Amino acid sequence: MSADRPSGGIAAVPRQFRVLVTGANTSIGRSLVHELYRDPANIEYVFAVGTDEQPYYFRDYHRDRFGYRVVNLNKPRQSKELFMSEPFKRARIDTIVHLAFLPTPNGTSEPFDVAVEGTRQFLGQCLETPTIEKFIFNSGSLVYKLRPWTSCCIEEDSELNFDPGVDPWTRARVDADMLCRAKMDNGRMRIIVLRPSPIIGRNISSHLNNFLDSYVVTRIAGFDPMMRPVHSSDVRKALKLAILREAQGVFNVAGPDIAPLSEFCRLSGRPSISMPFRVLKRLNRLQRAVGLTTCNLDVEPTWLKYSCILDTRKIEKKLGFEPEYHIKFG
Amino acid sequence: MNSRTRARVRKIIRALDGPRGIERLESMIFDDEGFGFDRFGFERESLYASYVVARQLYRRWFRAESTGHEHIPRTGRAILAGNHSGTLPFDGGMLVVDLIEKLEPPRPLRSIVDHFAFALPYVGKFMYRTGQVPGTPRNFRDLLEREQLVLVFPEGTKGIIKPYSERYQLRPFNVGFVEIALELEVPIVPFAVIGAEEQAPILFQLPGLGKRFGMPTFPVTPTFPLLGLAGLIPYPVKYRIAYGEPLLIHREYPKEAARDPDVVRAISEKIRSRVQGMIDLGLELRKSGGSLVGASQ
Repeated sequence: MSADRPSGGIAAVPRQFRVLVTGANTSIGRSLVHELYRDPANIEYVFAVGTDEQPYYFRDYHRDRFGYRVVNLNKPRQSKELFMSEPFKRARIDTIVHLAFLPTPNGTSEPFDVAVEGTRQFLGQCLETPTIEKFIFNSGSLVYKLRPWTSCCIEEDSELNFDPGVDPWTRARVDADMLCRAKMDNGRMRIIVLRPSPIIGRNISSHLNNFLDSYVVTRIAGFDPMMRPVHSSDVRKALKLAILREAQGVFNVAGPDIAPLSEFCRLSGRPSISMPFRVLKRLNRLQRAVGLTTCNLDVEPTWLKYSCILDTRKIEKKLGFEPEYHIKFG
Repeated sequence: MNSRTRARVRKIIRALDGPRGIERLESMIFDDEGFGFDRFGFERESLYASYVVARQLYRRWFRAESTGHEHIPRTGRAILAGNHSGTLPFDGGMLVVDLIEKLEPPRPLRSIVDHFAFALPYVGKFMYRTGQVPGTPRNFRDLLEREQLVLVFPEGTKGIIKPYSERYQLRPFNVGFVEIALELEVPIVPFAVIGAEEQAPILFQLPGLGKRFGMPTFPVTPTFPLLGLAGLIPYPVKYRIAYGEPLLIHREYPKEAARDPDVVRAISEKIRSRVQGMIDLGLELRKSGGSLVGASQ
């Protein structure tokens, strides 16, 4: 999967930032760290936090402008040690980009509420650290409640999915989103919550990307919701704007392409079939068991039925974000 | 539909209506987001293909006649507001067909529809593709901000399920469309549909049973449920549609009036009286065997 690369960059602001990025081993984290490191005019120092030993793609970075530490933020002790460590203190971090929060329901051995608790403690420690002025949390469009009567365009203040029957992963995402929102009036540290549409991009672990990466794409018969996915490059751009611009609040992030799900399935070039939801759910479990898909349809499948077009007017106005990268596969 | 199906549909339209059909299809005002759909899921090929089928119903079954098209703006935002009836909403469909049939260029009519329909597989998809959207204030506002012609039935579902004994007596109008019309300065074109009230006369209702099927009520007509689903086929009544002169309420009232519930209710009542007047006149003209022209004044 790739994108049409447009020209142009982000205007510089008259100060330099010292940024800590969690989830630096994820695809978006890695590319964001890369982007920040290559922008010395705006970014003075980058501190990457990941769960694996320093990967090869960060090894050439100069120590004066880059630091790396292995931390599992779900473990309070490790999180505390990060804030007390010398490299962290020396780095005088002023901006946090928190990407290390349950990108997909797969591949985690810990219960989801541990991740929520980890984020709560991490956020609390950031609030107690006087140098930190801004906290950016990467949430997602799955926190919105989708129903037949949901408006076609979803604004930031639309209803969130507090359904008691919702799966634990979605609930954890909503909880973490709400945690950040609850601390927004702390009076010292600015908190920004970005809610990107389903992300498409190489090695991205999002529900739509996993869905379109399946060997056979299976859709619910009789439904073809409108979608507005976003390319990972646009998410990276939105994260960078959130670092550079003076703002606070919740912002939707979406790409320039709006089309039905069937159209994106067609673009992905994968064979696609539709079937009743009950059959599809069983088939999905079977596909996962034999490794034909990583998309988990036991988790909040309403996005396969109802449209979700995020309204991006707020981020366009307040952060100057313009989606640029068109979805392209192959 | 994908590009191959779209090309096939165009071929069928060309075969049925000649090159003029394709010209009319392409002249429809349409906010394409780049894939042949607008952001609500509307696709003009789907609408035109549905029109090709539904016009048989319009021309042969309901033998529809209409008047007052000069009152419908050819471009720009506008609201069509009028009576709703007939157990199944054929009146909405016939209004959509009428505006494609009679306007040059044809103008897609975007209907605000009760949301329960969008939960149904295939039905919801069909609704979106033919330009209908769930009835939320945000959707209504978005359509108007995108300069669309929007159809509302301010009586809501109450209008469609009224008993036969109360036919052509309008239910109280909702007020949401008035608030938005004032805020966005939108002209309201009143209309009346005569005939639809008799297409499936409701003898009585079983709301409890309706709820079990996820519907507002369960209507009992002379043929339904007696003849099963075939009993829902509307009687071949003649449809008469009249569009009235646009009401420019935004010129009479300031924008702030949208926040005054009394003013909004009064305007809504005024529009209701206007539509009731058009219905009464239309019924009189139907009785005397006259043309509908008078009803559109």
